[in-house]
Amino acid sequence: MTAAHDSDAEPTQLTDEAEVLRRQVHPSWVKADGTPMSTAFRPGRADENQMSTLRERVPANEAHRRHVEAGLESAGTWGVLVGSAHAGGAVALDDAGIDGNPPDHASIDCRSMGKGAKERLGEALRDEAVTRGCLFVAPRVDTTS
Amino acid sequence: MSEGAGDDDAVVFAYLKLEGPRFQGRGMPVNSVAEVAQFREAVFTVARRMYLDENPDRQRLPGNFDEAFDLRLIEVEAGSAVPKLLLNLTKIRDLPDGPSWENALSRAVPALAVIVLGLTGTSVEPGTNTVALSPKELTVVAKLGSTLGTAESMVFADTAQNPNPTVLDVAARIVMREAVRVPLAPPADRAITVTGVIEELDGAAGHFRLRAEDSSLIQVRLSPDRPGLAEVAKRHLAPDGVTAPDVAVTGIVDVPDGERVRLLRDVTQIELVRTMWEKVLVDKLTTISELEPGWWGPESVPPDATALLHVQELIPVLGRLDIAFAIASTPEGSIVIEWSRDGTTFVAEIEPDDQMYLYRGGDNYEDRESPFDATTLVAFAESGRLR
Repeated sequence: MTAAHDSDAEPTQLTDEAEVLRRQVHPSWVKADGTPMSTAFRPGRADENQMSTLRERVPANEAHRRHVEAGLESAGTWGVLVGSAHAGGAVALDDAGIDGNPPDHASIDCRSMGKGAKERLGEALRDEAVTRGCLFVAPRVDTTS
Repeated sequence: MSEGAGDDDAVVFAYLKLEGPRFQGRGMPVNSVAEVAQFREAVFTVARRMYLDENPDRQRLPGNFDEAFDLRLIEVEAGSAVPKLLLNLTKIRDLPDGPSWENALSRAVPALAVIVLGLTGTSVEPGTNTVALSPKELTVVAKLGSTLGTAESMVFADTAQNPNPTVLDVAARIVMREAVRVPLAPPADRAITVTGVIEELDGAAGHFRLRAEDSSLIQVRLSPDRPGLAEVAKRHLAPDGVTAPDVAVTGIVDVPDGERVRLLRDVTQIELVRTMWEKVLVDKLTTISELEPGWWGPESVPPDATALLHVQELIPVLGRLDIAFAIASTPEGSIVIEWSRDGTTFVAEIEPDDQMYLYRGGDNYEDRESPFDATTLVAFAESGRLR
């Protein structure tokens, strides 16, 4: 799966606060009780402080499939509410096809946030995701912590 | 097993001959039938030991195995006391695991011969396997020929065609009994400590089963002088055999050093060695230490080695705080320790540059960055306070 590089396009802010973006969670981020750590919902330097997700229009199982097909591990797909990202001080952006991003890609942009604020955002998004429940559980999930 | 006889379900079992003036006449003296019975006991003892050694998950011979070793004296060959022994295979083959028992019996007579040769000081071929009998088991072997006179011998082999049967004359019997008498002195009881996981506790009876670190199973009997130990054992019981702490159990054994321990008695101490959470954290740390470059995208890196070492050193302390810690690596190589208490999330992140980030969550969150300090981190985990 490749994305066309579009150097002229700009990311656009998502405005539907009710949209639930698709976030993959690495198996090592799943606790013994099966819920994810807040680490799973917090960006860092490795992703340039922009947390990677897919748009809601991608079914949860399809989101997982694309992730795994790209050679990465995932314990499953969890939801990130656009409104919660905005409320936490981040900006949810549609940046599909930009800078090599795959189709349907959306970033939770935290570049303007300090470490504590990012940590708090991760905590809040995790709590909300847990309340919503896992959208797609991958087969043979590693639930050790 | 020996050559078959006419009956498909029975085979001639071993060659046994009693020699001496008393045995020249027809048949064999009635009071010498005891030697046949003792031979049967010696073979049974060796076969039993072989079976248990080859089936370490068994503590005892399965039920009916003794009865199934149905050896029958069907005739005495004319001219000498050569009792013809037939082994009825029907009972053996009807048993669960009967083939294993039959196999052990088929090898028991040659194994008995090697043991007797060893006890009588006769050299055996290098590389000959020998079965290690306990002192108690050796006394059964040493009783072979015990009713025979000084001019009488017992000869035995696996088959009548064996060119080198074992001969137990009076001299050999004397040497054998002297050899067995030395290890028969009860080995001195010695205290040992075994580490493992407690399974199958019977608190009222004061015993439990311990699965040792080498996966062997040990029956443990608590000392009656320590009534509180049953409660200690109950606290550390593994209901599923896996999620339980490692404990060090101190008691008495009566086997020499190096011999397998099956029973630990008069246990006076059960000490916690490693909590369940320690074991869980160690397992998790091992898993994340194996993450490779690119594990979460092209810019992600494996966990920092120094950070891993810090967490490894913290685990024995954190594992005893009775807190459900979760640990993970970040794509930047930090190690994150996360836990919650009363609905509040706490995070301690050990970063690659030996820095440490502590976070207490909630709407009025607090955080602090500083050089890594184990004491500060542990205090934060214990109290939940940053200052």
